[in-house]
Amino acid sequence: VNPAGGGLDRRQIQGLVASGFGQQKAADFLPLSIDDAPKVREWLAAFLERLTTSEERASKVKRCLAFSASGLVALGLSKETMEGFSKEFREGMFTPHRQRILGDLPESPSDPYGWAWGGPRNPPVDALLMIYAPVRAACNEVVAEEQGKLRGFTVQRTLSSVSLGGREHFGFMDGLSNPYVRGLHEDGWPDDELPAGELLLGYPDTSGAIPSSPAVPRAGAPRLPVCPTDPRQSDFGRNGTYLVFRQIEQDVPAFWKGVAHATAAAGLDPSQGPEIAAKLIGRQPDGTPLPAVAGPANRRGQQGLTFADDPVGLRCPVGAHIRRANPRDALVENPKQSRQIVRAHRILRRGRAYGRPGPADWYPPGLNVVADDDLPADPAAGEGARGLYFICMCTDLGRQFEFVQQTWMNNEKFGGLFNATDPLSSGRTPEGHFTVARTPVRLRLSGFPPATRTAGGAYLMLPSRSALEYLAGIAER
Amino acid sequence: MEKDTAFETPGPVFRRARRADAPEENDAGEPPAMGGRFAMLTGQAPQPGQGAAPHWRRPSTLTAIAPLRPEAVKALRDRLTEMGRAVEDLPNFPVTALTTTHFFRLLVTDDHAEPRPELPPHLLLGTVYDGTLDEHLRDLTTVLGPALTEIFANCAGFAAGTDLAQFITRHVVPHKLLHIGAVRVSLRDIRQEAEMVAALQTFVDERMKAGAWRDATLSAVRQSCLRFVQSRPDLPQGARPRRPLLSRLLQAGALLRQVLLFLVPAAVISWALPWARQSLLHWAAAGLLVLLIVFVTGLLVIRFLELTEPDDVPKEQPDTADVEAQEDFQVQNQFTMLTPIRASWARRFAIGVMLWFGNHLSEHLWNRGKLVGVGTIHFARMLRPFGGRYMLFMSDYDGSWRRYLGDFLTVGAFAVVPIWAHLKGCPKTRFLYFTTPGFGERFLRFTRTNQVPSHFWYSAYKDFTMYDIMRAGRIREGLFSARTDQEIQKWLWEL
Repeated sequence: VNPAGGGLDRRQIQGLVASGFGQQKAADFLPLSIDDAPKVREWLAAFLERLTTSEERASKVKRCLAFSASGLVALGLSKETMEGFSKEFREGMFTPHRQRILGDLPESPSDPYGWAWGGPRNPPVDALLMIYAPVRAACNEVVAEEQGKLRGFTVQRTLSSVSLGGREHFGFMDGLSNPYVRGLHEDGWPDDELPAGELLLGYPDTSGAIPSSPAVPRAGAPRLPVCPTDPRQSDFGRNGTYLVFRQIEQDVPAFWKGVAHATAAAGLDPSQGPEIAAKLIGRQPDGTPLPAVAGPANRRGQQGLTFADDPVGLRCPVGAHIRRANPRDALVENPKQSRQIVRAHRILRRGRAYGRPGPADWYPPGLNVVADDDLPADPAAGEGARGLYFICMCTDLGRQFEFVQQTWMNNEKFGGLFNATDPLSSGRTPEGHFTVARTPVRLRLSGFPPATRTAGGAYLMLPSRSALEYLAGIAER
Repeated sequence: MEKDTAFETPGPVFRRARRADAPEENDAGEPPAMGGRFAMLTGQAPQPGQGAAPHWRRPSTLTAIAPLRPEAVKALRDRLTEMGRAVEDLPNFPVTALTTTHFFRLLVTDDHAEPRPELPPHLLLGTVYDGTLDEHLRDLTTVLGPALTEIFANCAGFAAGTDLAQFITRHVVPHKLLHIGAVRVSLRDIRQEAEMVAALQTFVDERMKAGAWRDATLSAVRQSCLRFVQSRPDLPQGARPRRPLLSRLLQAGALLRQVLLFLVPAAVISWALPWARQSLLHWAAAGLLVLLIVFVTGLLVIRFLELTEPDDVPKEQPDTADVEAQEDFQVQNQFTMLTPIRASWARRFAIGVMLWFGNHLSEHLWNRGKLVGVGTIHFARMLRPFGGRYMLFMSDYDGSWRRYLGDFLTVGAFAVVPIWAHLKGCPKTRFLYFTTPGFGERFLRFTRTNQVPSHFWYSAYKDFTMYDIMRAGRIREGLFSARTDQEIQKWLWEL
C-alpha cells in the first residue's frame, strides 16, 4: 500500500525513525565491510524478516540497517542512481572541505586520520547494523546470533552503548528536545512539528517541495513507489532518510576540571562551577532549562522554550549549547521569522552513550553518572574511553546537520559572540571564550580545553523496507 | 581629535572635467564610468583624476576586467591558485602591507563549473579601498608593483613599458549596484576600533577578576573604562567624528535628483493629459497613474517572458571542488559569480532598472550594516561587463556559503530573487517575486554552477564579522557618549 495524500506508510519506514527505542536500554552498532555482494544480498533477503519497521511496536528486540554510499555501490546501484543521492552522502564525512564544516580539522584531535573506525585510514564503512534490546545480556545474545547469520560481510568492530538513565557522560540529561512528524511521532510542542519531508525522503519538506531522491529504473523495481518527477523511474529514497553517525569521545575530567579552572580564573568561588556548567549547556544537569518557558504546557505537559525575551542571554547565555543547537525564536530579531528559519535546520537525534561511567570524584558533589543497566563486556573500545554515539537523521545533510554544525555549533561568531565555539563541540578551538551575560558586567570565561573529540563516523542512509528488498534482489534483474 | 581621511569634506567630487586621454570604451565593452558630478548622482565608482566617490558611498570599489592572451591563461590560473594558498605569506606580493585596501581579489574568469566557450578568459581585479582611486592605485603599484605588473602582462595589449595603473584604469568596469556594510568606516578605523575593543575586554576581565567593581555604579564602571582608554594614546580618543552637515545635504540632494529622474518624465507625460491640468492634485494623481501603468506593463512583459522562456536551471549538480577548496578557512568568505543575463532586451532593461533602484536603496536606506535585512555582508557589488550581457556579482561576507545563500532565500528573498530572476539558469519565478516549492534547492544549484573561484582573495580583517565592526563602532560611541544608566548598561552588554 502506498497511501496517497502524503500519508506515511509506517511499514516501509525503519523503526529508528519513529522511535528512539527508549525501552531498549542496550544497543550495539556494527560497522560492516562488504566482501561478497551476492552473499550480502542473500543475507539481506532473510534479514528483512527481522528488520524493525515503524509500524511494529511489540517486539522486544529492534534491528535496523543502514548503508553508506560505498555500500550501495558495492551492492550494485548504478552511477546514475548514485548521482541522485545528496552530494554530502556520496562524498562521505571526511573531505577537506567537510572537515572544516564539521570541525574535524587536520592535525586536530578530531582529525579523521586519527579515527578509530571510518576515516581515511580505516576500511570504508559500507553498512551499519543497529541492534537494540531491553537489557545488556539480551543484546549480547542477539548480536552473537546476528553475527552468526551475517554473510558476505566483515564486522569491523562492535560499538556497544551503555544506558546512563538518559544522561550523557558530563552528567546532563540528553536528547530532550526533538522535532516530530505528525502521524509518525507523538505530538510535542508545536514549534517542534516538522513536515515529513524534513525527516523522510519522498515527502514535502519545509519549502513545500519533495527533497531530491535517488531513482532506479522502473523495470527493475516495480515494487518501489513511482518517482514523482519521472514515471519511468522508481523512487529508491522514499520512506528512507540519511543517518549521521559520529563517535564523540568525551573527556569527563577535562570538562569538569576545565569548568573549575575557568571559574576560578574568572575570580569566582570554585563552588560556583556547577552553576557555570549549567550556563555552558543551557540546562541544569536534571534537564531543567535555563531559558524561559513559552506559554502554557500542551496536553502532554510539554512546554516550549523561548530565548526571544532574553536577547542578551542573562538567563541562558547566547553561546549555551542548547541555544546554539536550536536557536528557536532568537536567531534573528523577529521571533516568527526566526522560528521559520530554524525549522529548516532541524535534525532528529537518536544518540546513545558509550563507555564505563566515571567515578563520582570526577563530578561536582551531588552529581553522579551511573549506568542503569549492565555494562557490555568491553564498555569502550579504547582505554577507558567514553562518550556519545551521536546519531541523527535528516533528508538534507547540508541544509540540516552540517548547517547546524558549521553555522551554529562551531561558529565562533554565533549570535554576535566575539570568539566562542560550542562548549561541547569537538571542533572547538582551545583559545575560545565563553561569555555569561550578567548585570552590570558580563563574565568572560576562558582557558578551558576542548573536552570532546570526534573518534569515528560515517554518513549513511537508512533505506525504506522496499528499498532494502530492491537491494536484495538486484542480481535477479 | 584625530583627523580621519574617511570623513574629509568632499572636494574633488565636484570636478567635472574628464581626462582628455580617457578612453571611450574599454576592452570589456563598457563605456567608461561617468565620474565627476555624475558619480554623485549615481554613486558609481570614480575615474582616476576625478577624486573619490561621494563620501557617503565609501569605501569605494575598483573592478578591472582585461582579456587574457589565450596561451597565458592556464599558467596564470595556476599561479594565482598557488598564490591563493598562501595569501599572507608571499614575499613578492605583500598584500598585508596595503594601506588602502579592505578586500582584494584576482581571478581568471573562465573557471566555471560548466564551460563558457562564448566568453574568452579575462583577468579580473576587484578591490575595495579607502581614499581616492589615484591613492589606491599608487598603493597597489607601490606595494605589489613588479608582481602585479607580471600578472597583468598576461593580458592582451599589455606591452613592455605599459603603465600598470593606466592599464588598470583603462579596463575599469563601473558597478551598477554597490552595497557597503560599514559606510564611511575606513580600514584604519576598523583596525583601531578592534584593538580598542580587545584592550577594553581584557581590562574588564581583569577588573572583574579583581572584584574591583563589586559595588560600583554603572557610571563608575564606564568612567573606569574611559580612564583606561585615555591612558592608551594608541586607541581612539573620541567617538567617530560626526558627519558634516554639508555631507548630509549633498546626500539629500543626490536622493532628490534620483527621485526626480523618474518623477520628471512622469510629470511631463501626465501634463500631456488635459485632465491632469485641472489642479496640482490631478497632476500628481495622473503622474502616479503614469508610473503605475509603466510598472504594471513592465511586470506583464516580464510575466510573458516567464511563461515563454525555457526552464534552463542546470540539471546536474555542478562540480564545486574548486570553489569549496577556498571556503570556510576563517569567518569570512567571498562569492564571485559571472552569469549571462537572459537574452532579451526586456530582461536587460529590467535588470538595469532594478540594479539602479537597488543601488540607491542601498545608498540611502540599507546603509546601516544590513542589506535587505542581512547583516553579514561587508561589500557586495553587481556589475554588467561584456556589453551589459553578463552580470558579475562579487561579495565579501561572513559565515558559510549555505548560510549566505540561505539568507538570500529567506530574509532577503524579496529583493534578491527579483534581480537574480533575470539571469540565465535561475529557477523560474512568477511576477519576479513568487516562487514555487523547491525553488531554494534549484537556486543553490544555479548559483553554484555559475560561481567562479576567486583564485587569489585577501581580506584585510578576515577575523572580523560585520557584526564585530558595527559593534566596535557602538562600543566606541558608547564609551565616549553613554550617559544614562540604561545607555551604559546596554553599552556594557556589548563588551
